[in-house]
Amino acid sequence: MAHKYIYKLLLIILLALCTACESWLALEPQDAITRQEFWQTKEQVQAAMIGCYASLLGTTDNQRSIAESMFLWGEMRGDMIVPNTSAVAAELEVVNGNILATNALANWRSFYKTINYCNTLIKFAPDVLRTDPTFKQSQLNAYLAEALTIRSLLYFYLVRTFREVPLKIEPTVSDQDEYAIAKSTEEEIITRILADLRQAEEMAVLSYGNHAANKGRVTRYTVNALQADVYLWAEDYEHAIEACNEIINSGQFGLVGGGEWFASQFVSGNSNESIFELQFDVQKTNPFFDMFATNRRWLASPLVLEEMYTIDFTNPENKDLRADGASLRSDGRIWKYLGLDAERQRTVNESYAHWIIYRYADILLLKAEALAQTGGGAEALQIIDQVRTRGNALEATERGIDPDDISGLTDYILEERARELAFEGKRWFDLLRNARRDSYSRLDILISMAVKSAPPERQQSIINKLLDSNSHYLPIFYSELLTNKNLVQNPFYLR
Amino acid sequence: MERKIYPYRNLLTTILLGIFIGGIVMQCNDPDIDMATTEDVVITGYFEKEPSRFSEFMKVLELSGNSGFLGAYGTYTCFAPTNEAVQAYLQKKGVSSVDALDVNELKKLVRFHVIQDTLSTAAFTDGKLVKPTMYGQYLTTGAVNVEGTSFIRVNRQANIIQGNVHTANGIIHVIDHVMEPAALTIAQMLEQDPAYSIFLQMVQATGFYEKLNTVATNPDGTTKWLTVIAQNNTTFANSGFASYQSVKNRYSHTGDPANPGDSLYLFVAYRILPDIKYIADLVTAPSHTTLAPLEVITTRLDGEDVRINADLFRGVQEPGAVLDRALSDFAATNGVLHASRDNYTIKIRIPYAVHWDLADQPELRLMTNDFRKPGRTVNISLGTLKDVTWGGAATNTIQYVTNAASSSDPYVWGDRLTMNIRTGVIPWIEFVTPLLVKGKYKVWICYRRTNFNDMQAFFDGDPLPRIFGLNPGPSYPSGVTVDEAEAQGWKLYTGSANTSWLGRQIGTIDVKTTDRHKFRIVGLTNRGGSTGNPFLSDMVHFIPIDKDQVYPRINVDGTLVPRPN
Repeated sequence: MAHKYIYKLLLIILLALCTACESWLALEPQDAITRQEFWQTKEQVQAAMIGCYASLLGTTDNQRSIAESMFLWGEMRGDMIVPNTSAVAAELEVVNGNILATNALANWRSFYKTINYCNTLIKFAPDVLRTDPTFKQSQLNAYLAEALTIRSLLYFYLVRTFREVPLKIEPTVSDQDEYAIAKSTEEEIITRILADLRQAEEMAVLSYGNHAANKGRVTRYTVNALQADVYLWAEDYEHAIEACNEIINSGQFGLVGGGEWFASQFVSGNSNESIFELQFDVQKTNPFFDMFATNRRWLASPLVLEEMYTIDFTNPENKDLRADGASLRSDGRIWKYLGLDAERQRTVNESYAHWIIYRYADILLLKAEALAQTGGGAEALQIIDQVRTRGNALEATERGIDPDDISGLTDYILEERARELAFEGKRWFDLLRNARRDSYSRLDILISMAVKSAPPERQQSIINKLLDSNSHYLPIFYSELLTNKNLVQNPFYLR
Repeated sequence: MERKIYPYRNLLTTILLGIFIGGIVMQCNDPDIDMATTEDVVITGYFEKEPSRFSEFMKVLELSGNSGFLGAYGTYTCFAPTNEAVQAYLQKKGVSSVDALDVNELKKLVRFHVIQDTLSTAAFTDGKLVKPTMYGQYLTTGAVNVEGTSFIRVNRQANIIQGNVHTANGIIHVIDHVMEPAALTIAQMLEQDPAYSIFLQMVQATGFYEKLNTVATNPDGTTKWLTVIAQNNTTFANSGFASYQSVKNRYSHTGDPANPGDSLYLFVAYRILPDIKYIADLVTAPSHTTLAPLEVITTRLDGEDVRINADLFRGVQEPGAVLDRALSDFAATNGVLHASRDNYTIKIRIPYAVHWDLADQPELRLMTNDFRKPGRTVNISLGTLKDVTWGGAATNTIQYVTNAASSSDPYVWGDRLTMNIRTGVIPWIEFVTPLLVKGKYKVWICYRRTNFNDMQAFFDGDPLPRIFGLNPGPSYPSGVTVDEAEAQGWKLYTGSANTSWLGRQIGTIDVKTTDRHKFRIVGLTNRGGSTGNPFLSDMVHFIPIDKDQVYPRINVDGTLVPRPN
């Protein structure tokens, strides 16, 4: 009898096991969420959008963060920073004009990662309209505008740094996707950026009703700022001025007072002058402490204080408010991201100065540059004067320029941009944009930069390399060439 | 019991046998054993893979018997000319194929294209490569631009058309011309160019011709290189010398240019540097010795100009002589030839007193908020000042301190450097002095007296005899005249003659070359607290031994107080 019960019990257990088998065979991952389960509610769209912004601040895979790349790509080939003793070999090779395809600074991975996040959102967010009835078309449009703008911003960095890059605008979602995408030309990329921005401009919000969000997320003014920069790069001055005017005439922005220049913009952040900046905070500190404080991989070049801002030795009280104790310290520290005031340095836990991508003074000077090219020299000089007066630029840096002297205006604006936007990742792009204008009619800008700043034992080589316009762009990183056989290396780096 | 086990034993044997046989069979099936440590191609392997580009150079390697080592383990850099390049070379030599060339010539040629090290283009400068070729001569690098396309140019002879090909035993740079080693000595190069006729006559008259015409070797077999900074007849003419005779009339004060004491002899000796120095080497070091005894040239880059002897002398920036880049960096078998665009010779300078304020450093001058402003204390990290370095933990700082506004301390310029010199903190600190003209000087260290650690100074590595600092801090002798005090090695250097601010004579130095030198202070003890305060240093005086050592004294504002009559 007992046997019977045992058999029955065994049968029941077997039955139980068999049912369990069913769930063993399920292929859905247990510890992650799939695309098919995601993209259901508007909260999920928002989460994805915030993910795009978060990826600008730093990476989870030890890749160089986008903010750090923006600084390095924008400054290291210019003349305002110099490597210090703990600069890494890759950085020294760039400064020495010996860039090879194996140089890690040419790695663009973190950019394409964020681009893929944006692509994914642009592709799948519209589906949420079907599953979440509370998700409105206007909300969707606002998200699309943000994603399009971030993607355009990153492509604009890539096109200025590499000139020709693969233009990937579809998300990578399955193994069937095309991975080996060939490079697009600069023109194709710029055209795409401008088309995307036109679309974004129509959909973007003017305000999120929250000050920090207005500075940390894409608004229509961010779109206009990027448009101004891209149009100027593409030498379309009328449209550049138009985009600047959208911002200038909005009444939403203004120059902060000279005394507040450092404190409100770089210490507190999100100032009245700011248009778009990366919102580092206590939880996500910026990459700059390690670069400028602990190891001091980079220092301000001595030229910045001595020749760009200059010093009034007869009256040291009379100084450029953007110089010592603001943009830099006289011992060479890059102070914009380190200082709490003119004297006190941030600790590592306080190192969350924002990374400003666009601000009002930048837009004013971009407009001046476009004006100088289109016969608006007098107005351009007024703008320069406005920025100079605010910053208390010293008399020694003042230039008596004729409003019709385009070349002189170009130099004057470049100098003022160096003073105003020092170490904001703008310098190299400013130099290159002005040098390459009208088929490199001002190549001398790059040459005279090299004469002043190149290491003495390599100066002549660097000058001769700069005469080749292909050298103005970084090589495609070697591992990208290995994984994508359709990529063609920049010919300068094949020799 | 035993019987019971038997069948199991059989089973066990069968299983073991099965595993054994199976193992053998499986091994037999796996014959792919790697015999090489790597499958990467070596340098010659790379050439063999691409006969369309390198068959000719491969032939050269084989004929010269050099293909062996480039195909074996090692670290090489090979500049590989393409087939077109080799053919152009053959045409130049007037032969139709590689076989027609002399084997010894081929050997030299190959050795001139190989360096025993791996040098990627990242190591290239405007000058010579860090290691010579196997032939013995150095290769130079640079960049040229040909109609908008830039190339790295090697030895002014070939452009790199494909750089940095990494192989298992080194790096290949593909070049578009065969490079030929220099064939002339420096003397022969001067001879071949009529524009150097005056300089050549000077070289011949002073007896340097032989030296410049031989390829001398060091005991270890390496070449004794020379660098000559010549100048052509146009440069002489611009300085008012029409002929050798006029140069001789001006400079040869003994009438015998071959006399090592003659000024013309020294003129030529001053133009010869005892090493191989391309422009890139000249601009990376501030001064270079010459064959003129104890005479150096200084060099610096000013924009694109390389200036020789453009020194700051007694507050005046001298323009110096500019090197003619187009006529410089020409390789010879025994060195390199440069040309100067301006006439220059040894400057006769008379030693003068240098009252050196240690805190007057160019980087501190830029700190306009702090430099000579009242009541400031600035911590200075290692690396901030290019002319001051120190030992100890990298985090140790020195302080730049200025007088409080209300202070009447007589520190010159109202400032000082505070340096915690003791074996346990900053064991040594080294300064680069201002330019000192060669001659004999007494050295005075000037500081605010308190209890310090024992310290000793070194000038260019040589110790100065008198130890200073000390605890208890010795004081100025009482009841003596300034000259009696001087005899005991003391002076009051401040304008107010405050006896707490002391000048201590620490020794006499013989400055051999007119140059900037190294001045080091070393801590000998490790006292702390009030028994060993940080050193409060104001100035160092270098005063020629035949000059007044005590006066002038110096006021807070830098003005001088002459000796009372």
